Amino acid sequence: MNFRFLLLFAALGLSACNDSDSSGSSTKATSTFDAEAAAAQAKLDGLNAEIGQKTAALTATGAKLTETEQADAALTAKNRDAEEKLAGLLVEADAKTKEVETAGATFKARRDELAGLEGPGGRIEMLNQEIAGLEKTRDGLAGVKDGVSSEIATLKIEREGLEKRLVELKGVEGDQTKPGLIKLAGDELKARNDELADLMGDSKDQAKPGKIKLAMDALAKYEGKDGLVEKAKTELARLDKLKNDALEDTRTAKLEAARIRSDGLIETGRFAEAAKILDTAGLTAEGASLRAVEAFVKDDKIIEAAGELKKVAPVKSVAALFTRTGKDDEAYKLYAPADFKLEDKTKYDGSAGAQLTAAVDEKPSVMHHKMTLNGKTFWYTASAGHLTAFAKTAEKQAPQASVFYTAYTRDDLPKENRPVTFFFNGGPGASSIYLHLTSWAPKRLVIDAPKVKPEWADNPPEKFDQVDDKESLMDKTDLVFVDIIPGTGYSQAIAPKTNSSFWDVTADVQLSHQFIQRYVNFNQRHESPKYLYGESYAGGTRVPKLARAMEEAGESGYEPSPTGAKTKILTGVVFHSPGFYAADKNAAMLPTVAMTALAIGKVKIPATTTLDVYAQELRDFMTNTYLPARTSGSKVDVSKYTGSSSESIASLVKDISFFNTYDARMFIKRDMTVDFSTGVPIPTTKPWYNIDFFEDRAFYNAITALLPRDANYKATSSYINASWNSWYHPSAGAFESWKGGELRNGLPDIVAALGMNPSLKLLTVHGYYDTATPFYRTELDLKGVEIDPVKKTTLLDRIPVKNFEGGHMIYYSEKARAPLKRTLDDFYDAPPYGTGPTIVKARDLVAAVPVQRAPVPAVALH
Amino acid sequence: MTISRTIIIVLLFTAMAGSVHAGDRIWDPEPGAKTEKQDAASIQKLLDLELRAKFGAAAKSNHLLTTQAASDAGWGFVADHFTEIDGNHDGYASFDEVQAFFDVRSPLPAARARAAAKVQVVE
Repeated sequence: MNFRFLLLFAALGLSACNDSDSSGSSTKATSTFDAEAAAAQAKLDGLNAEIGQKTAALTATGAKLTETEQADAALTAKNRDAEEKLAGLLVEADAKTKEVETAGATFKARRDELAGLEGPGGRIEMLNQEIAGLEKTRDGLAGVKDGVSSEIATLKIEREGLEKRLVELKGVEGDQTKPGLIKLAGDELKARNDELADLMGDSKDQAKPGKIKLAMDALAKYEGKDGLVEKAKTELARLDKLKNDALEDTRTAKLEAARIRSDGLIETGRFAEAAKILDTAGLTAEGASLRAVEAFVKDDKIIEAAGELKKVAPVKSVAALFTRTGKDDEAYKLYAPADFKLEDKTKYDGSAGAQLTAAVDEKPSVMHHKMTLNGKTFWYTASAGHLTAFAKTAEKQAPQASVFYTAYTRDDLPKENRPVTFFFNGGPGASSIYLHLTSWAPKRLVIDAPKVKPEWADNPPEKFDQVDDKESLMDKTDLVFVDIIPGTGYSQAIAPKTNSSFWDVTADVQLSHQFIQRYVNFNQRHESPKYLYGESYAGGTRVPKLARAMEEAGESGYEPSPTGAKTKILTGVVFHSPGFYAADKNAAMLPTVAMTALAIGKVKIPATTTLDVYAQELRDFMTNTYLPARTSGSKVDVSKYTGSSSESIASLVKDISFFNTYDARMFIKRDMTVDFSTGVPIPTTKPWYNIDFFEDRAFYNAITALLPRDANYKATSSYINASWNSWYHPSAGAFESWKGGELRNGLPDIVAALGMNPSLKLLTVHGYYDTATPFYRTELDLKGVEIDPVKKTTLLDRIPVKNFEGGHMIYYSEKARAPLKRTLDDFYDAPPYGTGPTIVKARDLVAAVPVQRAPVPAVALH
Repeated sequence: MTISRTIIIVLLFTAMAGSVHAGDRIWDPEPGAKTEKQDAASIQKLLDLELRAKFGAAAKSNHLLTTQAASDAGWGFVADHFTEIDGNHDGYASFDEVQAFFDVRSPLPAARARAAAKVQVVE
């Protein structure tokens, strides 16, 4: 039985790396990127602390390792001793066994000898008989001489000898000094047996396992499964793994620290320094790349430098390289899709029964532009095309319509914080051309309401000037102008649906929702905050219902977000010149008439009184005097506010004028005469077109030029401004056959939406001179819905109404643009409703605790 | 239809400004109709009807809604909050449970009062 044990000691000769260069103070490297640098710094410090902790743990582990090793060595020695002892005992047992055998044999021989001598048939007895026989014979012979026979004597001597031997063998009873050889041999045998038993143990007696077994047990303590040696090995392996893990963590942390520092340097263009750091960290391949980048930059080969840098650095660093070297167009290309000229040969048909046989291809046109807004220069993408609106059930997707849109997006901004706003005009029946061409896009047409050029008396304008939009919303949000109604713009229904399938309040809202879902899925805007901007019918009907539909549907209809984050459903809604159809429009018209009277000089107010203050005076008059009188049927004198006894717009000017419903300050005068047959005044001439839609022709011309020139989209079909009967589009369309009028009021939908999302941001904006949707009516409509009977708050408290010096399309008026833009800026910047910055008391402010850098000692592990 | 210019002038001269006729860009489906005042009470009535209709469409003949049924009907808001709506956690939501859920968070006081009155002892 040989036992060999191999104890494996892990090569603990590795010495721990010293973390002596953990200079986490790389702040000077990344000072140009404040917030990011601070974050990176914090991360770095955290990592350094981690490194320190890990190293300390490593030290502890190392000490424990040493202890264990020593214990292990001791165990090994003990083991060896036990082994040797056992071997010795085994040899002894061997020898003892032999001795026992010998003693046993001796004993047996003696016994046999005794048996041979004693007893009947024994030698002595035989001799006695023989002697007796011979004596008898002797005596019988008589003639014994000298009385002694030599034969007998010999025999007697033999007998004496044997008797002596007998005594020797048997011993003398009662005499301790003469125990006898047999007893001695017996004793010897017993002694040897006892010794053997001592060694081998007594199988019948548990208390006597024998020295050998004890030695084996002692040995087993050390070896075998669960033996001390095995346990020591396991413990050793565990500590070894801890040490390796700690080393690995340290290595990873150091790598990460190196990356953070190098990222900061790369972003600021210090490629050589970054390369050095990466080389030190062992990332020599990347270091080499960065050196190549540095070389390209020195040679002014920026494109090549960027190509190389793309392999090792994030996109924003490559963009920063381009920007630093004046190639901001290249920087933008890293984020935006490539420019793409789209020629759309589809024949779009605006009639009620028209339908496409299949969905239009969804790849949009793309064009990159640069603009400067409020002193900041940036690039953006203009993109136009179609997206398919799908009706989805659990079983299938059915295409409904190809919806045309134009989008202006800043693709280099992170989507997570970059809002996207969907713009809808009203009617119902309008495309988005009015908002698109003149409100918040990067470029706009200058209408300069209420200016009416003299030549417009005879003909509508053919063009307006296009300028850079100084009030553009591109600083706050991406813009998507949606021609949601099939039969407007280049939008059309897909068979089996027809255009008129969607000329209905409910179908229109569903289509709008489907379009937005498709836009978000297609452009991965899941994480972007979403806003709706609805004008007129869109403000009072479509967008309230759409907001409710979006909240009700939640995330259903959206594909999973690419980053796995939750899709943002809806953040804010702007109601622009909405019609909520609740209060009596005619009763609410007086303030608009009064403001118009003021604007065209029929009445005067002190120079120090602002329009808003004057509007409040008008409201008070309405509440206290006019509305009560109207209810009771009595007459009220309004001349103070309108300049005449009449309350109507027409009476504001002595001549008959054809005024613009949408901005009552705009009118075309006509000389009057009297129809002598009826006595009714009639104009001598009349404008052949309706001033309400004075801008349509110019807008058509503008969009036809703009889409190819500014968005790379060219259609062979004609753009349809609006689907309704007008001087410009003399056939009935969507407006005339729109269904669902009983649902036109969007107030219940706003209430429902607020129930699902109480933090929704809401804003209403109106123009003072708008007779289509008078501002005061909206205020009455909102005030009519009470939301807290105790505090007496109404929807008007929840949804602010701001009024501006303009008409229905407030942004047509130069004077109104900047104030409206400021209001929208505040709206976009505001936090979710009901949240907001809290005022922190000074004493609650705690000075930031400086981060402690853990000491990093040099530790040798062995 | 064609309206003679004379009549237009007469209308302009005597009628209230902003009277709507076909061709205006602001829609008034029933010109001259009596306006329907929308206040909290009428809105509440309308929303109750609409909720019942939407629930019926989603729950179908079962009269009880499951998460799956809500999801299939595109009613993501209800599907997402289903565990809050399904008070006894039996996997089904009755109309009352759904209405209570909406009532509790409604801006309108009548709905909130109705929810408060429905205080249920949770076994």
